[in-house]
Amino acid sequence: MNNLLNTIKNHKFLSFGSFLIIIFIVIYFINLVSPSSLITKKTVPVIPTESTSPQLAPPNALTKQNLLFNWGDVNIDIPPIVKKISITKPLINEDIINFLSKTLGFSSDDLLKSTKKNNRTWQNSEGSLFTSINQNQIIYSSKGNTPLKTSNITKDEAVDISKSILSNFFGENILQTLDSNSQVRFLQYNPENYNPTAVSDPKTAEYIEVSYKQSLASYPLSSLNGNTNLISVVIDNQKKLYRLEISGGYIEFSSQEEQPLIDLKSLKSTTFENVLKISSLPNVSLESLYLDATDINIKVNQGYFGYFITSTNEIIPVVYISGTVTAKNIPPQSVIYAISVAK
Amino acid sequence: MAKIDYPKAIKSLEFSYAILPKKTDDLSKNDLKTLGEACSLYLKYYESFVGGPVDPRIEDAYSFHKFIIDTEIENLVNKFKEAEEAEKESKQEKPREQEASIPPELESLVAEYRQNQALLESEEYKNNPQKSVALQVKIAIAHSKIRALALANRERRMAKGEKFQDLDNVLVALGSPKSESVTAALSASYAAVHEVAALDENYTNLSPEIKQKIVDQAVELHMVSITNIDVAIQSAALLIDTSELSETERSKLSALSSHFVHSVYDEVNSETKQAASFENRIMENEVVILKLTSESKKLKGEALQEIRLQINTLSENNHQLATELNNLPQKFDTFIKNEVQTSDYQKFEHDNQTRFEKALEKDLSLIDLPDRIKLANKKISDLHNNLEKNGVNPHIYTPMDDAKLLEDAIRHDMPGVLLPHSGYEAEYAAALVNHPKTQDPNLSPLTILLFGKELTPVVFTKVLQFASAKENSGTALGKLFQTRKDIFETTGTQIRKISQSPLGKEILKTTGGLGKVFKSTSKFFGKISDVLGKAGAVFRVVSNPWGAFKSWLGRKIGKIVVNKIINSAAGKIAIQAGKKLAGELLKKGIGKAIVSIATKLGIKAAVALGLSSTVVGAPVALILVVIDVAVGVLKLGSKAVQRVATSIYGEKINARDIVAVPIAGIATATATVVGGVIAFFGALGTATVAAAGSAVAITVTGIIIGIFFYITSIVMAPLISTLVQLESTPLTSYIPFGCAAWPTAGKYILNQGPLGVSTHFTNKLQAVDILANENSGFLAAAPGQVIFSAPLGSYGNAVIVSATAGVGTIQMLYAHMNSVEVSVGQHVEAGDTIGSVGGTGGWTPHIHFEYRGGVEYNSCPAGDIPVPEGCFNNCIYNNQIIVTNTTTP
Repeated sequence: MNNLLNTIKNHKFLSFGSFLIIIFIVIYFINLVSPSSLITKKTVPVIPTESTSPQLAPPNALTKQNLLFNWGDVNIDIPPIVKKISITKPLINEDIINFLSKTLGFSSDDLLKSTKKNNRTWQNSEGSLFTSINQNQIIYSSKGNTPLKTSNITKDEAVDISKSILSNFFGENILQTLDSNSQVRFLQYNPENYNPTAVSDPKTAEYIEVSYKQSLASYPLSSLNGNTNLISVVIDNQKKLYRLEISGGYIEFSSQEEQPLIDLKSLKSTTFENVLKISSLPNVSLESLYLDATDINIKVNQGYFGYFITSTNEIIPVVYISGTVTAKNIPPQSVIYAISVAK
Repeated sequence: MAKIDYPKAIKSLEFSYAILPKKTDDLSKNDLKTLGEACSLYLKYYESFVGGPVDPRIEDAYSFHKFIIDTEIENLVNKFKEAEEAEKESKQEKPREQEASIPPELESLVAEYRQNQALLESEEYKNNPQKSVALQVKIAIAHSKIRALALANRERRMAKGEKFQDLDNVLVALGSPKSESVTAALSASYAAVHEVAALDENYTNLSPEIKQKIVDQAVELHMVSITNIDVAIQSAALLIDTSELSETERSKLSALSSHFVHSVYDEVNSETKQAASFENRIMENEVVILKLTSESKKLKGEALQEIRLQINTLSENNHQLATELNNLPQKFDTFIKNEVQTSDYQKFEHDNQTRFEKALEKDLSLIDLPDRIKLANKKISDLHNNLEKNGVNPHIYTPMDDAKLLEDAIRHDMPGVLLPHSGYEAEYAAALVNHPKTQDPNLSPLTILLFGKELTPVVFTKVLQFASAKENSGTALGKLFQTRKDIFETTGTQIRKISQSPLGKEILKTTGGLGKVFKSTSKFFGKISDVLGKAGAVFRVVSNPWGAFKSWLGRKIGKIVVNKIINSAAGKIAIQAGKKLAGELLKKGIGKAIVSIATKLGIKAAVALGLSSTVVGAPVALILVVIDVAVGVLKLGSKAVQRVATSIYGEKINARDIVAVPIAGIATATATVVGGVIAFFGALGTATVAAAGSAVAITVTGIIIGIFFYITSIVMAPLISTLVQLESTPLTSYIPFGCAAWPTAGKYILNQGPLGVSTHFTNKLQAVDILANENSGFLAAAPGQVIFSAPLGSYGNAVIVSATAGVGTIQMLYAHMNSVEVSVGQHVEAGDTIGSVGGTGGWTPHIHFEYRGGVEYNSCPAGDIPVPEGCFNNCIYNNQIIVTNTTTP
């Protein structure tokens, strides 16, 4: 007991005891500081909000890049009055998605679960259909037939087939909205190289791709899809739909008040917030180089006014310019950019 | 989720189906009511039952009528019908489950399978077929012993009136409900064993009865993870009882096993005998040492010197025996590696292959035999998964399952020898190895607890001496020694192991100051509680609430930590790590073992787990943790304070615990003071009572100790728990490969490597391409923040994550996705789904997984699988890479 009493009387022990009490008070104080939090059992999850204001470039890590324009003698016609436009019925909507899924032969059993709302994927032994309201995207991919060795499908026939497919899916009115300049590519898919290779002789084509822009208030409408086309229909050389890719688009729209525009000619350089590279580079390796470049020079060869549709169906007046880009370590590349002209 | 009335729900939906063709204007009130009910069911259950997203436009009866697709109703109805059926079935099965216990041999079967599978799939054996085959023979021998122990356990429990379900019935009901019988449930195994056995003439020459025995035994071995059917058959041939066979039959049977399997079998048996002999000799020596030590106290001079010499000799002898015992596993390894064994193994492989090839020449259908064996392995895996899922608790039976008998006998015959409680560290360690996935027959939680109650080798020898003495044959210990010597042997071996290990030192760490007072009080009350017999258990808690509290705390934290560890990683990795825990505990002690295992599993701040395990025991360290936590909490800021507070007062520490803890503190204070006074009187006599035992001093002491305990217990218990929970947040729920996880699940071709000649060379691209199926999951390979999520030129839909991988921060780029499931700024964990595989950017669907910022892919290859630079179209493993996702992200 002596030991015990000595221990208690010991200076260190007393200091130690005092220290203990201080700590207890500190913790008690912490409890007082945030009393409501103490009884809260559930924390509110922080969900990143997506921007709702129209933006040309998606929020990303690439905005450090500078784009330097060399306009040369290029003159771009910009209409004197441009109206603000709203999409009242987007091309990619719930009704279309449900209809497409059924028309393409998918049942509810084929529907895969997605973790993100409004992304849906159907998959069966015949192919898969991915639809996304968030991304404003539809991708149908058929398992496909084995292509015939030779093809007898002509360019015009391919366009007709693709239009017939589109009108079946979206109604005949869609054809009225398509830009008259469809693009046709004769392709061979070589799985070893991943990407389709364009062939010059249509007879050797395994697949034929027909791509469309839409026309909006008489001006071309594009989205961020790797090229300036919104809709891509790929048929095989047995005339069956092989792949369908749609990025944005509209069925109905409305015009509103006038949209003030910037003076494009005075634009010597800009950061990537106002500019989007629309076209893809030939391979991912070049894309990677491009991603790393901080200063990109572009010699503009030509340009035209048009509209750009974002994933949230915002319409932004833009100028599409095509030209040659150069940057450190990148061999000259032909690219297409969309530059926002909205003030 | 509330219980669903399926018939009613189905009726509602079916009625609504009939209303759908009506026009909106024609809908009656009743129609709207029906549609409303159906709508409510659809909104509530469609996603969870059917799996598809709910149509966001549907909100009420009208929108339900307008937008619902008839197939959606049909799907929901079908799912409800299935659920109703399943519910009926489970109701029918339940009474049978409740009637009787699961047979111990089935529990051990599942546990053995898990343990063996983990071992066989560890790097050590996976890459060494010779060692793996040897291990499988060892497993076969071990299985026969474990099964015998499980059956003995069953017998003992049956003798006490416990009932058990029929093994075959329960195996089918819980493991393979669709099968009609055990034979049907194991049909793939039976077929594989039959087919492989039939290749061997030595088998075909045997009598039908022996053949059947071999097949049955081999199937049982297959069930405990002996996936090499040749080994299963050859081991079975060695394991079946030959006592009633003729010499000719015996020799035919013997010829079935290869030389390699024979020699491994002999070696394992010989080493087991050696181990038993070593243990026995150690025990005998210890009894003699104890006797001599006791005698030496009465001796002086030369006689004393002589007896000391004898003790030293015996001690040295024991040391040598213990070393040899510990070296046995290494000896087995050396045996397997020797030239004779290698040559025998090669012959074993060659003979198996030749038999197969010869048979294949006659019967082409055998070409698929390897696939049928794989199928049989898969079926066994499914069976075990089902058994575990349906309530079979895996447990490997050892004599230590009955160690409580030993403890009771010691308390009865030798009161006061054991401490009343095991203490914090022992409870902590025991809880760690008490989880089904961390069980190890070589380190029983019960032994750890006994050791924590100070059943040290010396004490154990005293117990042994008492139990083996002829004059004590009628005592509880004596009777137990005669009937259950195996408990003594196993306890002795394990206690020796623990005492020589860092774990043992942690458990029995010396305490000074107040700790000594607590201990003497504890022993004093411990003796009383032992004498009290059955009532002693209650007295142990009442008389020593502080000890009971510390034990409770250790047990609680141990459980939390082991659950965190096991749940932090998926499937096999967790099992493998779990299996190593017991070994690591012995080698490194609690703290370092947890750090080691947690690090293997990629658990964040494993050090904190270790810290909490080692610091809590001593009161001073408790305070240090309070300071650390308090300062840490202040540094972490308000959000962290909230998290800590939520954890402290949240579900993990319930109200009862909070009340129980201060009561324990106050009760302890009183008990300690009273106990201290009693101990004081006992120890010092009356001469110094007046000086030290004043009422004031005792009261002051009581108050101070009371405050001390109150603070430490009320503040510390939840804080330690919080610390553990906060710091052990799993880093990943996906297979945590060393540096980065594989970015998808399934079996796919890896088609292009870093600097691949197709599309990855221009920029020396540090990327791989995996030809995964379109729309399969694209999974984050490492945790981090999404810094880009949008279409990106020929990358198509791409996501860039600033990720923390094994080599530091890497920008990981995932490309060509169809769907993108993450947004900029979002945090992802390894294994999170970030999108689905596609071909956006103008490619055929594949996964493009790239490291940016100059980080070489092979410096941190996904899944720890380096990919040859420049490879294209023929990258690794014959163009195939197999990655199995064992989680459900």
